[in-house]
Amino acid sequence: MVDPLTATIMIIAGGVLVGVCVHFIPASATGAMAAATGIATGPSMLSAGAGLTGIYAAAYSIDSGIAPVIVSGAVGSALMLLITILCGNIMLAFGIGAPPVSGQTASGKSTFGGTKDIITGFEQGGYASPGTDGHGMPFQTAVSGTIGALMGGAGGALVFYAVYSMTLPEIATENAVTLAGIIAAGVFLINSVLPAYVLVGKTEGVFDMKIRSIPRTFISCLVTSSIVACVIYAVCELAVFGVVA
Amino acid sequence: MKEISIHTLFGAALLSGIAGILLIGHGISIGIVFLWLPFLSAANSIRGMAMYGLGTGNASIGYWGTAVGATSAFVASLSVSCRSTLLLYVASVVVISLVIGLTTGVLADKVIRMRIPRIELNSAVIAVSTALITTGFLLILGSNYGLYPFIYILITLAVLHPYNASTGAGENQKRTLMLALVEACMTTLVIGIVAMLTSGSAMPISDDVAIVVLSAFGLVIAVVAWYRLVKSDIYEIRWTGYSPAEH
Repeated sequence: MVDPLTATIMIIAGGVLVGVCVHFIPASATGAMAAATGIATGPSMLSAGAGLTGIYAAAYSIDSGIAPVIVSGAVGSALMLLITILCGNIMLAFGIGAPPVSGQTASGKSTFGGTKDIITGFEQGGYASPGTDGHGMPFQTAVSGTIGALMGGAGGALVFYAVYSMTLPEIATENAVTLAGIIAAGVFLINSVLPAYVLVGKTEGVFDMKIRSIPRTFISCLVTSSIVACVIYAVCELAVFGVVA
Repeated sequence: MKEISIHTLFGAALLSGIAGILLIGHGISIGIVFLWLPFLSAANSIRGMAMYGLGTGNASIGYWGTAVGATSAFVASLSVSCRSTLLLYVASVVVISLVIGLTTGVLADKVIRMRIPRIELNSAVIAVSTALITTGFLLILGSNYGLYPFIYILITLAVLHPYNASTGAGENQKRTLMLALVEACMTTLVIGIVAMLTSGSAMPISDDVAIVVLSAFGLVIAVVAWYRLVKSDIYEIRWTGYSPAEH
């Protein structure tokens, strides 16, 4: 367990991680399935899904200390995202015959320039169907998504562990786990939707120029998470001292 | 037709929600009908924000707003053993959700530069309205922590869906709010059934049955009224017997 002040800082850090992670996860609007690179659920929904999986994974190791909780959350979240990417790619490739290709890279507008996948070196230009902005999730995009999911899962787990530490003196262990889980999920949803506004429905992760708007996300999530963390801290402290209980 | 303003609807929802919570807190379960108005207020604000074309879709704004509201209510329920100090509990829920809702709205407007008119007002309204609903439901279902995610999802769907379903050409506030009322009744009906089935419910079973009966009654009336509106609105584009190419 951690002391309440450290837990408050953990909630703020977790919230910011969750916000920043959305920029790394490739997602496009639902209507743009196979017409834009990324998973067609919208950035906030996908990030929230990855984060919730991370929180579930973290809950299994809640008694093992902070490090296993964070690792468990991060790995759970990354696994969820990778499986989603794999299934999405299989459906797109074998279902409608669209190869995974980065639209931004194919048109030479990627963050790092060039028209090749920066990791595998595969040429992207010429593979995007006419009228689309890429489809599927090529290797570089999947790697970016994995990094994002690791960050998001770790952030969610941090919030989860912090809230759990703060609520445990008040209520029974199993109830504390549930309550911490739902509050962590709430913090996750608040922070994952804010950056989605910056992304306006679509991003390819690190390789999208929109990654440059991270400072705006960072400030927004820092302020929001700080207020949420302070409220949770104040409420728990008041309860511990019996002021309002 | 003149639309109901956000301020009017929110004012009514706030008073109605607080009245509902106080009634439920004093053991009068049928006070749940006063929670229908906060549903309308939240759905109206989601309409107000989403009609400007959010990049994230209606669903996200519903999830986000309810996350603020429900999390505020859950956090407040942590410390205040609220059954004894009900007014303090309601006040803390309203203040917490208002502050967080307003802050996120201001950030979305000023820092993220969403440029949606009255985004801060709308996000605060969604947060407070959903926080009031969550508080009412928590009082009915008691300290059954396992039901928290269920409450959250239920409220989210009921507030985000009305505009999502009604959107498109010819959408109007009256029909969207009527659909919100349908879904509010449906939600309280489900809460009543769950309260009946849950052993740890805070209320005697007769009170839970009263919720179910009242909600079912409201649901029937709301569905009929909503269907009438749908029929009258669709009149203008009703099929004339000619195929579109000839028409």
